[in-house]
Amino acid sequence: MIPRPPEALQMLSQRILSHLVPDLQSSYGQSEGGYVGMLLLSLVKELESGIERRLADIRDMKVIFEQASSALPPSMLPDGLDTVDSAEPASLSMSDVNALHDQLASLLIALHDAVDVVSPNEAQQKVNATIWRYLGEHARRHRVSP
Amino acid sequence: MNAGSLAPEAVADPISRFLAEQWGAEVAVTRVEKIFGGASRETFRVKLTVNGAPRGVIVRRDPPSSLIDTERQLEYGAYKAVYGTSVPVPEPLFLEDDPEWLGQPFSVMAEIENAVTAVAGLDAADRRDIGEQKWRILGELAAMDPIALGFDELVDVPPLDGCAARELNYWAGVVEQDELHPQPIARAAIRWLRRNMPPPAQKLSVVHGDYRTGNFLLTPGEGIKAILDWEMAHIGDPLEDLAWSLDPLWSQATPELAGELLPREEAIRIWERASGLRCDPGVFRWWRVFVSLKGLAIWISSSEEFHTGASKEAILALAGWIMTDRQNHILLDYLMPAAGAAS
Repeated sequence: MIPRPPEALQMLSQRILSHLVPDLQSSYGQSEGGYVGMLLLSLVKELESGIERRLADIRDMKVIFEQASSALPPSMLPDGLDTVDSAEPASLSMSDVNALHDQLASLLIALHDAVDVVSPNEAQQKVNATIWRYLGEHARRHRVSP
Repeated sequence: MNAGSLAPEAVADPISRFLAEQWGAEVAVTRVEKIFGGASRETFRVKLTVNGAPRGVIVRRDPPSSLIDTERQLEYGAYKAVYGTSVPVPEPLFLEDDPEWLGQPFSVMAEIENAVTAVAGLDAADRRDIGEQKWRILGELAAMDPIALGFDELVDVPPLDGCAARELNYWAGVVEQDELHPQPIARAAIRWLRRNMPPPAQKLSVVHGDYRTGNFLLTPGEGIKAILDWEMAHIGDPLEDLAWSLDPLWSQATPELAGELLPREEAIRIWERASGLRCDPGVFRWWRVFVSLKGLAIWISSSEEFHTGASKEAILALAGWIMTDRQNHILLDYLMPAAGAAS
């Protein structure tokens, strides 16, 4: 049993990068080995907090949808927006959380299409600004590079 | 012959027989090394003797899942078209479609010896020299007539007012087709680009398609020896290459130096002087946003290719994840309303 998978993965990636890669004969092998080690390092953070970060996205997107539902006429809202408030992932597994995250992200794109227009009214402007703020926060939250 | 990945030792015998047949000479392979040549093809450095004289060649072999027959022909055709001009490229030697030799089609180029792709170890003077050459060569490529070079036999010739729309449609289609998850930043960028289409190109040029630090060979103290990786070459608006070469993605370590070589404004001035063309800041903004979308599309596509198992190269997974992240941040910097315009 490995009780702390992120730490184990981190140690394995360090092992690859510091011990195995330098011992590889070809430059191609060293490149590939280096990439694998770097990927494993990135996976450490994903394993540790990937679900939590997706759940935070889901919470934020629901707030946007709520704001849009009260500010915009129904004709401007994408289909399915009215049901997402109560939507929860089927479980806390990565695949179930991803499924809901993707569903809401598709709705977000459709909503953004409706409000990010050439001559927006005030309500569209506000929702558009909220979506852009969310996209910035989402990118910051999921940042893998320094 | 195996159509899957090839070990270097499996290349020696067939490639020596192939080259002996082509050259009508005695060919003996002395060393084969697999090298990193991008994610799209297996690349081997082959040292050999031809009638007793030492020589080096580079062999680029299609991957097993290859659907890129046209790209191989385009890449080889581009080398042939440009070879002998002021834009340095390796001498193209053979393009072989018969899988009998190496299990897959392949191309053979002359090796450029004692050259590297990395600029990280260069001192300040070398960086400046390489930077000046890099954007001068790109300007000279932009100034050339693509029809006179024969590029119209390799790729479509768009109208001057169709270059931007054609590229945008293509790369927006790649995002749509290959995204594993919804991509709200890419979609916002596509929307912005469609709404702000640029004026017609000043002229039609050969667009390299991936002109950046890392895609040319250089020798410190001597300069750029060869421009590589022409598989995305096309005829289009020359501002596309300039924008791609200046994308912040290629300046992560030294944001103040474009491509880790020169200040951005200086690179543009060198390009303008060499090309005789103007880089209008308003028009250029569209191309800067576009190349970031194009980059994002490439990284999304890399991720899809790795995920589906079409290729198991680790670089594809790394690009699909880390580069997507970086490119999303660049696009946000450009498009976020509060952040203002891409300057």
